[in-house]
Amino acid sequence: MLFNSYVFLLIFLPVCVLGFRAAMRQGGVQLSLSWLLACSLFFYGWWDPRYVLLLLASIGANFAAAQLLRRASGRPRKALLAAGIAGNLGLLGYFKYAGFFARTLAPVLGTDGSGWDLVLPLGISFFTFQQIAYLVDTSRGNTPARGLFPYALFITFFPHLIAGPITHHGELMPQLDARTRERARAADFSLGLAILVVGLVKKVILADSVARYASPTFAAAELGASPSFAEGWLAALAYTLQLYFDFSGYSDMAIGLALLFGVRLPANFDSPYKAVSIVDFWRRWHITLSRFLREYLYIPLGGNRRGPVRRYAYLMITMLLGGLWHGAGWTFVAWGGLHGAMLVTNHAWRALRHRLGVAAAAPGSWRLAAGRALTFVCVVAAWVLFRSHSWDGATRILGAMAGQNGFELADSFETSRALRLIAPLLLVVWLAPNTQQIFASGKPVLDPQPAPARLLLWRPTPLGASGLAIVAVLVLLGISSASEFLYYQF
Amino acid sequence: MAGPARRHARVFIAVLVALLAVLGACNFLLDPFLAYRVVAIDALRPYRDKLHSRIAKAEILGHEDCQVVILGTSRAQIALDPDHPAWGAPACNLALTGMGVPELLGVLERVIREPEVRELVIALDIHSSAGDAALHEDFARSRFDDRLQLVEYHGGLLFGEDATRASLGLVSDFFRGRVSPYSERGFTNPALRGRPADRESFLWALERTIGALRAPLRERSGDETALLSRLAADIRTAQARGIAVTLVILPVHAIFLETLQRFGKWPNRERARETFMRSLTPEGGEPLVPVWDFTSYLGPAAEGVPAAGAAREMRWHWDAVHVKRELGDEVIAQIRSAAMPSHLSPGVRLTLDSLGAESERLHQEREDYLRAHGAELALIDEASGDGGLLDKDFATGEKQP
Repeated sequence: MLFNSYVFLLIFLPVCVLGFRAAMRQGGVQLSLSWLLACSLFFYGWWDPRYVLLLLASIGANFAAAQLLRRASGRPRKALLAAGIAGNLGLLGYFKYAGFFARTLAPVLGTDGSGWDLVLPLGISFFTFQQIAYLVDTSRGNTPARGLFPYALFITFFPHLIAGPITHHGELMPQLDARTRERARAADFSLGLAILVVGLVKKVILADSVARYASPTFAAAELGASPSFAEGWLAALAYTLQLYFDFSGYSDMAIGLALLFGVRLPANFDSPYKAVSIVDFWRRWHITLSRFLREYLYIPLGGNRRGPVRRYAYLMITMLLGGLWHGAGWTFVAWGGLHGAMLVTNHAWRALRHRLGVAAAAPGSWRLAAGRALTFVCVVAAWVLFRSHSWDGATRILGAMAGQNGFELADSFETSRALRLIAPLLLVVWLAPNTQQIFASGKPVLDPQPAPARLLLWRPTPLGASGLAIVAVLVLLGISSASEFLYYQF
Repeated sequence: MAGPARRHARVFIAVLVALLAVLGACNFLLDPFLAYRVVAIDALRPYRDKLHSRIAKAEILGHEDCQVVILGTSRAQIALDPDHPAWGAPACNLALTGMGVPELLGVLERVIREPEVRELVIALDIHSSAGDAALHEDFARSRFDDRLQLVEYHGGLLFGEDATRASLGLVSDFFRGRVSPYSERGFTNPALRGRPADRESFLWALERTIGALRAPLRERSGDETALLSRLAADIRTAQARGIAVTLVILPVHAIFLETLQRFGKWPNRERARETFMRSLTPEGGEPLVPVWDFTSYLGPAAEGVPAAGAAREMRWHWDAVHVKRELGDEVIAQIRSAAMPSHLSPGVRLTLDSLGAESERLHQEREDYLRAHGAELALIDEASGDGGLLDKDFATGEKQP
């Protein structure tokens, strides 16, 4: 069930919210949370009921493993943790990467590599990571004992189940445990509605509109066409915007939906295209994934504790695996590798400046602008790898952007139409405050809270509510041609 | 809830519900796709402009008494009138613009499940080897598609942009007196929009045809032989359910046939025809169903194209690929053996054994045609120039943005 579907917005969500509130009034916190768990399982089962069993089996096995980890110590604990992680990764690998490895190894094994492309259970990449984090922290003694119910709800809570944000058990489980849950704030409901509508606008109106200028060029490049300079750049910029509005729109919706039930999720985006460096970009883009990779992969590998060379190697490994997490394909690995290389360069540059004693305390506005422009260009170029299905398709687009086919600025009707949409959207991502800043007065996400916007700061007024309702109707109008979220495939 | 927040939520929900109620009620009552048919607003009947869409055609199947169903592309949609008396039973024209074999299979498999359907007439576009056409994007939004989710479908019809635009268009056409060329039984009559059958229309269709023949990256959606085998299997299923099936290759203008020759596509046409006949013919037997071929270089097919700026319009053709209803009526009369004066060359009942003789006949007719009308072939050069394709609606002749 997509967030941007009629069945979700007009049937599932109203029923779920009304049932939750009724259960709260009639039976208290525990009944309302039980209702929420039932709704979440129904939400997941709508796609394919058989996979609910897989999800429940995964939850049960991980919860049992966590219980055993609490009691174990020393070597058995390590072995148990390794088995738990291997089990989770095995499940993910079987569904997500079996086809990829079968195709890759086919020439070596003398097979045709077919027959391994399985249906990927929705959200498996996300709930697998959350459960691995839970096991790791339990083995470290960092998880208080809680029952199966809050654990199951922590994993299945429908706003974040399919595509994140990747929540930490320490953030979410206290909010979903009847013993520790705080009373829902009165203003959360209206705040959640407003953020949900903003997320829908980003997805249905902005992302889907700009997508039509990206997809044809990428598809043509896959088929062997050589785009012009303008076509290459417009397609890359269009995809850059599509991906941001699509995924940040989804994250906004998740945050808004969670607030309807008095639950706060962590922020997942912080105006990433305003980043002044690649290091800064990864603090702003898919924040919860960066956090997971840092805490459960990069730091356990060794982090920055073993000297710069190893540190850069760990960084590369982390980003390569991060790329592979996004999809079973070499273009994703290349995308991760490219970002890893850029991060290494960024860190090395900083270290060099520090050693030379030229690291300014606060960079001037020109340096910031130059850093922002360079970062943006690097990110756009890397998205070409991310979007392309093949290496040939990616190199054709990148070649066109580099002027391989000349520097023709085609003045076609389609080009000017694309520019009329892309240019204002670029201004939005560069200059406008983000959702968390606009709604900062309501504290919509878990700490740290962003600085509130100077302009466009949200206030719950009747006029604003009417305007928001009109916008919501416009979104519902656009839903008839709505598409899937890009991150659903991951 | 605290004061302002509670008021905000209440106002939001109240305004949202009110707006959705108004929007849904308007789309429900105006019903541009005739999906609900709860309130019949007779005054709007002549102005319904979406009755050719996949959504509406699937609804026709659900709501109308369709004992005879006509399937095919825009050629059948424009040529074969479901109100022709020779059908002898209520007929529906469910032909779809730009329908390829994969979509034909989707529609066919849906149609043969309808209990009231007694007869199927399938007009095949064997000329353009439509086996490689992908599903139209609107197919998945219609009831023809078995995977359709009904909540999304009705949500779209009540609150969606397309339905709302269609409702507004219906009201606008009503006030402007702009009659729709589409009937409630799925037939398209371009004459209602005053579309001229002149040289420009002829060239426009030829340009589009040439554009399609030239397209190097045309998406292939499956092996043609496998698709045609599936079609034969569906025809067997239909017969097993007591549905009579007739296959028709509709007439086209001779210049279109020459365009296929000019662009080297004639062998494709011959191959597709043979593949199809093989899939329909059991070993050493007759075809499972009658297959009528009206392809010819003679008679109406050789109709002269008006000169540039001439007031005269073509009698039998809307353009190079679409014949008028008058010619369609003669096709219907022939396949139903109805008594009717005919200008059309007699249609041929194809068999696997007669294909060679038919090819030879066409070859001979072509020689005669080229001798008598060779000068008209300059139209192909004119249409294949760099004038660019005019993107126009085939039924109305209007340029699309």
